[in-house]
Amino acid sequence: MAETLINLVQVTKHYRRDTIDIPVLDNIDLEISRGEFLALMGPSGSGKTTLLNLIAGIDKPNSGRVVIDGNDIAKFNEQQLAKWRARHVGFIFQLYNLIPVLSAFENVELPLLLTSLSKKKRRDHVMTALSVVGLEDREHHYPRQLSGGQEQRVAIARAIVTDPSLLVADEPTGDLDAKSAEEILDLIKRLNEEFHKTIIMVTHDPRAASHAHAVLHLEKGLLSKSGGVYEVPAAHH
Amino acid sequence: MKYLRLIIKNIGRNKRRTTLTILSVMVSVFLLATMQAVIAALGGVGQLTGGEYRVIVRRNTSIADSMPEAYRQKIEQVPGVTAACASNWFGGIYKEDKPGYTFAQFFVDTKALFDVQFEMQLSPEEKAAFQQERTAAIAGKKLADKYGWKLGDVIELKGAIYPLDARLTLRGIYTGPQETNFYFHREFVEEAFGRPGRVGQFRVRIDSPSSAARVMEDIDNLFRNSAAPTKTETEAAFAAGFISMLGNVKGLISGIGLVVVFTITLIGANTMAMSARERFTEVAVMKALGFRPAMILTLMLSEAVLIALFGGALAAIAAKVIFQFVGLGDVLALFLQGFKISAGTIAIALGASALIGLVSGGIPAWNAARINIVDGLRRVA
Repeated sequence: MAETLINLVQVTKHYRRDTIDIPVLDNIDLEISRGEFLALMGPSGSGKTTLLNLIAGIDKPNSGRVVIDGNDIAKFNEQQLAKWRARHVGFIFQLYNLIPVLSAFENVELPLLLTSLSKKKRRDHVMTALSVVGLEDREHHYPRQLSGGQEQRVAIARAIVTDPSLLVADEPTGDLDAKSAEEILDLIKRLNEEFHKTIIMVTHDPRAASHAHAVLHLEKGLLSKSGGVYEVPAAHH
Repeated sequence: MKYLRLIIKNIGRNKRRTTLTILSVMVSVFLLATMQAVIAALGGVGQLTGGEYRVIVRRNTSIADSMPEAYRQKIEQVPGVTAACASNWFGGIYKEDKPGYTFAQFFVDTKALFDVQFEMQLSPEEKAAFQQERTAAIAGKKLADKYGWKLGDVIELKGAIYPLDARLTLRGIYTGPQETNFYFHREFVEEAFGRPGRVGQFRVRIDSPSSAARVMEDIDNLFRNSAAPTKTETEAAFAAGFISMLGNVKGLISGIGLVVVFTITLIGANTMAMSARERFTEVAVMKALGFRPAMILTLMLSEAVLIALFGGALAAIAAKVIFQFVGLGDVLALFLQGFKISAGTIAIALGASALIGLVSGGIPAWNAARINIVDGLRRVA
């Protein structure tokens, strides 16, 4: 039986807008195994990104436990969460979110600045990450000099450069053409299969979701199936 | 050091805005440095030259107004006064009417001058030659060096305030305080105008610095109900007032202060706007990657301080070049003996720059450090 990496227990999340309480997630229970590649789907406002943010440690639940690799990160303070994210989570965003004034190399190096690695070691790590995404020859290019697909590859290199166990991707192909999207999805799948990264990907696109091992549907803050039972696309298996 | 490249890259993010910010800091700190140098020089006049043993009597209305020569006897009778020297500003034009040819020229009582300006160092021969010859003049060493004068040279001053062209012979070069002054005979001018007996200022020697306040009050009380009431002040205060003949120095300094404050405000607003507009999402991403709030605060504050320090350094260089090497400082130094852009002034300028950076960058940096990651990322998506 696969080891559980992520365990959400009775997680509730709601936002306050002025005096109105807006429920987003309602008593979510979820287990995700290490090495899993999970797609989160659902209509806009269903709580996909919020669930992803809770797992990634950039948001906190109002109640419940978010246990990642044995640590209940819901109890962490801001400092502890920052340290934990730097070590354990890689982020892939829809709009890449590269720093425009930094070269591809410098963007990928950014998370390593928080480590005690030497300059040479940092360079080795960055070049390794860039070679994994096939952009080792673009280290000096700035984001504006890259295509959308290449920018997303740099963002993926930045996400994996610290060798985190968990990658979270929020609509990673949402801003790409079909060909580039397919390349990015192949790359993400490769990270899962070759490098054994646990990947949670939010997407609206069924074709993107088809690359995942499993698909989880969220509707009005509720999982369509919970407790680690996923709806698996027939085309995938 | 590993963050320095990140800081510098961010500074260069918008080169035009950064350049304008640096220039605005530069202008404000340049003004601040100049003000500081003027204030330091004003403060130094009375302290460094023996000026604590002197007070200056002038008209209460304006430094440009005159008073009767007969005041001298009354002033000399005030307890604590040991000597009084009548002195007028001549304000003649030497060679050309340009700042480079401007210097302080006074026609004075040549006998009383050395009693009052007791620190002046002049050989007995030169002193005697000066006092005996009505068209003789003496100049401070710095002034003589500046124009390459030597004893016996004829110096022609074209009257600008007085309709009199003075042709004077340099009989002495003195050292000591105020080496940029030029003195000649009061008799020479008095005779030319039929002895009107008007005096611009009396330089008064007192027996002790501790009696200055009382002496000043006693002198002014003497003439309070006369047609020409006086205002007696310390030499330092007088120097400040004397510079005001060039313009309203107090107004100038106040104006500069306002400009500095206004510019600093603009810088702060500019920096805040810069941070608020452009960095919100990036900061959220950096925080998501693991950058802690304290690190974000440090990085952004460092940017602001570096920009301000760069502007401050340029201001210090500009002040040094303009006032020292180009020579505009010579004009000010004629009236303010201690005027110079000193190491202390530069240190104050750089300190002020760092403070500008900290203050202007403080609020946006603090806000950035507190950005909610989810809000920051939502702004993009």
